[in-house]
Amino acid sequence: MSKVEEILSELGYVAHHPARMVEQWKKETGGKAVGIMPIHCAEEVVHAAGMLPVGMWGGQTSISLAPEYLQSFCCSIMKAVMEFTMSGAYKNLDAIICPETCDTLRVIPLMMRKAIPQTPIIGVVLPDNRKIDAGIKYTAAEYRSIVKQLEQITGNPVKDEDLQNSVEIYNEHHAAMMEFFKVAVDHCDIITPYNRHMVIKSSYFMPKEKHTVLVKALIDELIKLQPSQFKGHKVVVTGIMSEPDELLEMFGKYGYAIVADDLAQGSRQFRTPAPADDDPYIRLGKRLANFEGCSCVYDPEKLRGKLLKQLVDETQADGVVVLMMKFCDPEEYDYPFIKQDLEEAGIPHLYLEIEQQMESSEQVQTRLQAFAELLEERKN
Amino acid sequence: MFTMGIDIGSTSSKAAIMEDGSKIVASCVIPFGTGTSGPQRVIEDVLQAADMNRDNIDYIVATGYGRRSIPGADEQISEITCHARGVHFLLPSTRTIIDIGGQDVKVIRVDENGAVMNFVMNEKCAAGTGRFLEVMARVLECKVDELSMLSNQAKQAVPISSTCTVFAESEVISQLAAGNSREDVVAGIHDSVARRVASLGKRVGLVPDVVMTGGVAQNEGVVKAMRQELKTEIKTSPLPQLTGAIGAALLAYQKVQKAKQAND
Repeated sequence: MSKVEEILSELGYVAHHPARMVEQWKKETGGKAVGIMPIHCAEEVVHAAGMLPVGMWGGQTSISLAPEYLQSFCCSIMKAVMEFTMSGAYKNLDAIICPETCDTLRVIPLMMRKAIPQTPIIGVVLPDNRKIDAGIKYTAAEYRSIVKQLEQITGNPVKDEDLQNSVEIYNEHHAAMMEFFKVAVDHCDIITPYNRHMVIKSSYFMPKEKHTVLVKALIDELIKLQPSQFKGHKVVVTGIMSEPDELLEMFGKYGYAIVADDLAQGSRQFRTPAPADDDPYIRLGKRLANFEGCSCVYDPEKLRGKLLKQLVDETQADGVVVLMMKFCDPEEYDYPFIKQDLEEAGIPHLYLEIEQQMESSEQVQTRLQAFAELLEERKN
Repeated sequence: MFTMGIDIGSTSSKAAIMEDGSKIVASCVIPFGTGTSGPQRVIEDVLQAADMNRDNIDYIVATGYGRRSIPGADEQISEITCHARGVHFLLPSTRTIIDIGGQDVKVIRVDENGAVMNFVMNEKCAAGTGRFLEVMARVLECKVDELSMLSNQAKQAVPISSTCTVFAESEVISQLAAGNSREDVVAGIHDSVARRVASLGKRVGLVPDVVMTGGVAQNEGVVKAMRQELKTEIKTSPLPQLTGAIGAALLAYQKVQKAKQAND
């Protein structure tokens, strides 16, 4: 097994075994773990409290308990989260942070408090007016409030320098991830859509310091290799996430490589560094202020389509695949703007409705195959 | 050179044999789709109609919902690409294709060469598909191919939901119980299909000529409702059920030609 394969295998294992990773971390450190719901809550506050931040982005499971709380028109991510909550899968989490990301997430904390009353549920509301001074201060205050609640759980105070240190660790990790995405473009044969996702997903279940080391090692190994002569279709994907695994395998099957992403679970987490400031909480507030291009962050200028065009230009992608999470209102609202921008730029795109629990993949396969044929036809 | 296109849908199997990518030698439609004896039978029947055996065929392309389960096919290509190519062959001025099959609806924009520019498909819901009409025909105690004739005799279409087959079925029963005539209810069902499909069509933009294909294109009542809903002229393919198979046979010819050129 090559070094690249070894690292990818390790990251794949982590991505598929979140519960084991949490258990292992707690055993090794004696520390506590905190679940963080999507999309834009800064993990740094949990890290600074000496706890393990754990991404809670649902997963592949059959849904039977969640409908007690969630209607059929709620997205599959939240259904999976509630299913895991009710089935006891999150029993190792010592607290859960729930940002008010969308209409469904707004009520999740209430449901969780009822379903798992023993676990502290910390709500957080990030501001729409994130760019003005008051908005930045408000974001900072929300993070201070989270830290206060975490201090009560651990019994240990979190100093400003602890958070400064965590912000630096995360900036380094995010930069490494962005560098990995760039390097991966030249190695589409190895960094398949599935492998690329494993690198992203594993970051949610292990300490960022360790993940950074692995990602940097992966970059070093990839750089040593000859760039691949990829003959398939290079695409940029946009949406909340690129799960389930079956979907990514289909991308591979029809000759796609993901050369850049604008996924809430992917690049949106990594592309905006926290700028310098003496106050670490203000750094996190400023990061949210500087961030662009997410359906769940207020953007009156609708920059996402332009950002996608830029990603296509930078990576010389053949097209864009819009991974529309079924019943995700914020993403649905963004789509007409994206569509218009891509059409004006002459960039072909595929609208692909997905669910984390895909019962039937036939329609998705037909669309992916037809889009691959369309892209091939354009090359000829 | 002879090529074969096989289009295995959810409710029927279609096949066409073409000579040199320009002449339809034989074609066949069997009203049984994937998972049935239909695929095997359609291959046997089309070969028999052409007085040929498998060895006479240079290349076979399979398409449609059951395209991956055709033994002996040299390649499988999506029905989107095949429909586009097939319709372009039959009606070269086509720029938008509305294909309503047994369980899905596709709207495909094509360029002057028959290449796909953009497409949309319905999601898992069966509203607006051939299956929707089958369910309604059962409730109305008639055959699917009688629906067109019935809607022709309608005086006033009864509004029917366009969002859900199950809800629409209940609505149809309620409307019949309320004393509305079968003819008026059928006209309402056709309007419902048209509204559902039109909303998809508007997403890709309807550029004339607009052509309907698929089994449902044989229902003049739906075609008429589509014309009214989209306020545009809609042509129907002369071989509505066979466009996918013809497109597949054409693409098979193209594949062989390309391979030959590469070898030369």
